[in-house]
Amino acid sequence: MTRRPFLADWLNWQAVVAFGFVVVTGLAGGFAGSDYFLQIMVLAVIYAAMGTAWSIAGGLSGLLLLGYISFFGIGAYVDGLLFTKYGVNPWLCLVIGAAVAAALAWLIALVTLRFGLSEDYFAMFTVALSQVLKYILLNWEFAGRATGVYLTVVKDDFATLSFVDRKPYLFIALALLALVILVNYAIQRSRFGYYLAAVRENENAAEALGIDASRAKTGAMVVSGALAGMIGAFYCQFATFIDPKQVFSLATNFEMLLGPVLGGRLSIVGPVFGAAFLKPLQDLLRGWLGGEADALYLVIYGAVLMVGILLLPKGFAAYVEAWHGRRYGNP
Amino acid sequence: MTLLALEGVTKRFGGLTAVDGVSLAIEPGEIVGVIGPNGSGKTTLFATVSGFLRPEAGAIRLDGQSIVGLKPSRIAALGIARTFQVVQPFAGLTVRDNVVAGALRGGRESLADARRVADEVIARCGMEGDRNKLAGALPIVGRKRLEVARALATRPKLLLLDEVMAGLRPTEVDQAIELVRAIRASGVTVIVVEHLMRAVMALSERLYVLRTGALIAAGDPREVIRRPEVVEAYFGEAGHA
Repeated sequence: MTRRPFLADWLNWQAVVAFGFVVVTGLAGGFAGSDYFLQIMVLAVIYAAMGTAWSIAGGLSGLLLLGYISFFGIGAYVDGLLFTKYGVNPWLCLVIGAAVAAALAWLIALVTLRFGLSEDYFAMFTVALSQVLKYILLNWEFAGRATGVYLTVVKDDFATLSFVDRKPYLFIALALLALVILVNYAIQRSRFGYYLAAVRENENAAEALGIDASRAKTGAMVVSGALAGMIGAFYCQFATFIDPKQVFSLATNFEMLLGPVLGGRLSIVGPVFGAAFLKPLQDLLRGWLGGEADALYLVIYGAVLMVGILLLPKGFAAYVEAWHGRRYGNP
Repeated sequence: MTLLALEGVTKRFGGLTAVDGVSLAIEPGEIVGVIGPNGSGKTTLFATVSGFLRPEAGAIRLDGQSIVGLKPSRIAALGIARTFQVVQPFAGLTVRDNVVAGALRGGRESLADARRVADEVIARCGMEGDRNKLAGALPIVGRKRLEVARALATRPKLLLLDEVMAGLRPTEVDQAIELVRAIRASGVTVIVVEHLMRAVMALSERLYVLRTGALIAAGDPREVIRRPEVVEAYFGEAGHA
């Protein structure tokens, strides 16, 4: 068999382009002068990382994981509470946030698979759970109820993941995005990636071949959950202020899923570029419509998500993949 | 030692008894046919043996070990592979990736080994030309063949073939018969559910006949199909065969 060029492989090509995006964004951020633009860039990168992390469970394993923000919110609160109440190092909080979110994901998988929830009920369960968590935190004295958590000390110190300047946050966010891209890529290259693809395409056939469908789905949930927990913990450090309505917001939840769904949830470039393009658009929309109309965003995003899922099952990445196939003459 | 033993296996759907107290024994290295009119419980029997359905009564033993209540993936790992009468390809994956998914044997094989085995199996099943095509783009004949290739890639002890020859042209049936013989020659025990009598008679060393879920005959194929109760099951009441 003749050896084909590295980039002729769609997955390799995507990884190279996605890492290219990380590098270019880092360079652009390095030269950016305004904190306003840096703020938007960091959020866009956080969304891109969330989208790419979501697409492991929501795309590769085919789970209709509609309520994804729970893991992000849990990670944010783990960081906020451990740091302000117990002085735990924020870098360690990133790891603990990932672990706690992973445990939550494992529990969700355990419960929903045990009761054999069909995919639409699974979707509703995950959405409902995110709102239950929100109300628990809204009523939890220790976690500051609706006021949330403030990180009061802001100083330039890499060791405590705290900076006066915005630029370091961008670089760390990009490092997280690179990690998520790497995990997604590695999964698609591994046996686990084959299990997820098989289970997504046809669960019965996968089982008949010896692939444990519930184990595969649980694994995907845990990986997606852990990554979101880590990103959430970082978000808390970056925002220095979190409250339940913000980090468990349904509108934000759907905002985060727009990128991967429209971009292509079976791809890597889809979630990365989807978020990179859509997040600034969403910020413009918010500026235009005002920040308080959460219900309106829910309607808009809900409609766009539905249309996207129904009409573009592979998202815009399908067109890029077709172009890539022609470019390299793939069969 | 008996490879697969069923004792009084019964599967009901509400008031309907789809499999009714079936007992049978499959010895290693055999090709055994299971025939019966439509709705006689052949596919249900396969689904029960492979763990997709749980029997209400009876015992199923593989190599003497009970497999009732195990998950399909567990049973597959123990060495029983099946094809689906209504084909179930991974439509969005290439033919090769479909077969690799089987060749991984649920994680007991490395990816490199699985790819090598998959390519061997694809060649053996005469699917080299379709290797990089999406499974969903194959015609029905190709998808039937893919069912066999994927199951074979798991390197089972026992292969359950459910109507893999339906819809094939006569020359393709001959190829399929050769393939099944080659599979057996490689040490795999095969149970064939098939409507196509020519194929069943060419392949089976023993034949079981099901009717409304119950076994009505078993034994040498040429002798069994002449028995009055079998003839009646097929051509019986209507009498216009």
